[in-house]
Amino acid sequence: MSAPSDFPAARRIKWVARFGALWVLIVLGRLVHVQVIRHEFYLKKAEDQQIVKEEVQALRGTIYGSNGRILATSTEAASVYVHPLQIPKEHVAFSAEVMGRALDLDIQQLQQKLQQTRDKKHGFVWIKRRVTHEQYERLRSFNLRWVHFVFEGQRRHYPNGMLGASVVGVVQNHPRPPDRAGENSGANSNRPQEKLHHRIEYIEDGVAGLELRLDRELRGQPGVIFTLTDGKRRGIESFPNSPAVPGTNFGLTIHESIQAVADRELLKAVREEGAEAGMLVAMEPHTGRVLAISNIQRRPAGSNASESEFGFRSNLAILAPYEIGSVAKIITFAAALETTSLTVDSTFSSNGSIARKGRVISDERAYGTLSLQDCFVKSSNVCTVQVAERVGLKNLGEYYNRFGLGARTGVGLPGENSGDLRAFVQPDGMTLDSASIGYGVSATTLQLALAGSVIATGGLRPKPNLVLWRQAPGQARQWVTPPAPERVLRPETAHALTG
Amino acid sequence: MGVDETGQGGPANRTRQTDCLLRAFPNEDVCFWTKSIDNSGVVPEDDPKSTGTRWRLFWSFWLAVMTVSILLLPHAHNIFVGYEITNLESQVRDLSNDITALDVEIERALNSGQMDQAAQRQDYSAPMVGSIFYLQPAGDSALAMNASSR
Repeated sequence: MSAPSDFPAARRIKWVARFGALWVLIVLGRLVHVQVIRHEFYLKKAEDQQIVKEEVQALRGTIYGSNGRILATSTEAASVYVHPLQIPKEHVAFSAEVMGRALDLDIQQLQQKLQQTRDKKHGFVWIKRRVTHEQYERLRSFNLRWVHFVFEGQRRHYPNGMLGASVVGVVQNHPRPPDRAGENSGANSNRPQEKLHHRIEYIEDGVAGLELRLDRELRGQPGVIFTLTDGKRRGIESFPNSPAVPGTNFGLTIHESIQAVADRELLKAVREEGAEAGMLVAMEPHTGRVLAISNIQRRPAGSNASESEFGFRSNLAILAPYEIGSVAKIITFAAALETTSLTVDSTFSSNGSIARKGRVISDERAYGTLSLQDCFVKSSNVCTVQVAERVGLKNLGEYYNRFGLGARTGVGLPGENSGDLRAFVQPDGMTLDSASIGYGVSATTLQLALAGSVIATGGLRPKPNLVLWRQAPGQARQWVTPPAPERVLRPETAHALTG
Repeated sequence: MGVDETGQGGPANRTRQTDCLLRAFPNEDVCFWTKSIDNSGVVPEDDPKSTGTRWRLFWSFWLAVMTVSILLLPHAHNIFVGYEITNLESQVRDLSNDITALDVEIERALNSGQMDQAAQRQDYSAPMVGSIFYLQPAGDSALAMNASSR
């Protein structure tokens, strides 16, 4: 009997087995090549195709008033694009009408645009960039499968309009510079998805007010998310490489109601007086918390007709110093009470005018003999000049400084002006007389509010502040303790000036 | 199967009458007979190993299916859950944005300008400086005085 292997069938099976083994060896060899030898190469290739890198912009922090009303906040801004080839031919007109109405666009032009891109077999067309949230909601509610949204940065809202606008400031939206976009997109910037969308990341920069001063804290830190996607670019899994950290929220000392009343009354006063501008500062004298800063500036003739007659954003109260006039008498009389032997009962005479160095300083009328207190009450220039001559230039200059004039208050707003006390540095013969009644020197409205606070607090000069609390994401609200006021006058001096 | 052994169809017996006939095809005279075999009475002997083989095949297949399932199911499950998670993340983002947008809408509706306009429409007036209005504690609705009613 022959061995089984001698049968032709057995030989054929042997050959098939040998061929199968060879095939397995080839496959195994290829697997080793792909999985072991070229492992890194194919891994990177797969990641490039499957993993989408997306920079997520941190949501800018919200700014609240002291009563919790929102003064500034941000929402993500969506842009709308369409896949024209997904629109059924008979629905092009309908689609154009829906999108036109939802996005406030010209329907005819939109239909033409859609038809043209369809005819050219283009699979992508922008419809509108950075739409408002209302437009986004309107269009999203139709749930059209050919309409797609992509978030391109944020949109800043000031829902209370001009309330506290000069303090809050404003942001400016602009596309991320190419160099910054490049450094963030890295090696994956040429992915088809990004080419398709031509997505532009818009960023917001604070350009005025607290939006500028607190910009670094408000803007947070952008994050990077890697998303594993399938062939249709649907996300399967997200890997937050560095999660975006939202900006810090701030609560301001600005009291919404006081600010609204201040704005309204100041506008009324400016209108009634026909003034070019008006500034108003309200603050808590003991804490230095600024309750309202109102600024109104008449726009120059011939300016943009679409704008209102008045502007509210320029913070003239800290930017624009002016000669303080009779407010300076507070300083002069305080200096007199503290640096001379004069008392509130000391007497001075006013004949209606007084000549100094060839100039005449006059009162509204001849008051006759007045006590120092009455000189202050009647705001007599003639008496004040006589008091100042007892005080002397050096002491008067020092008290100007004690009341916070001639130096920035440190309120925390950009561009604050320090006022002008150069007259004390380079005095002439009239400096003392002029400065005693507030001429030749200048200060901002905020500095004057601060000077008034010195009297109201019995001689303590507070440090003005605008931030009531701050809240970093995920943390408790941190209340800001107002800086301790500095004593600059004796209590009895302040009392004498108010008594 | 059988063969015609008479030889009548052979070449030697051909006559003038038959010359005109076509010759037979080769093996034309080979006939086949079929015989049906009845195997109904044959009963295969039971293979004592066949049942075990069947069960082994069944369990091997089941084990293979389970192994593949155990290996693949978590991955498949992860993919489906991943779709759901990314979808939910997107929804969270949308909802968060919606909440902020609604907050903005509320603020817009209640801002001081809107309140002033509403007050004008309702003929409310701001109290004069130094004047104090005492509201009668008549009920919850007595929150403000109407200028025209004074």
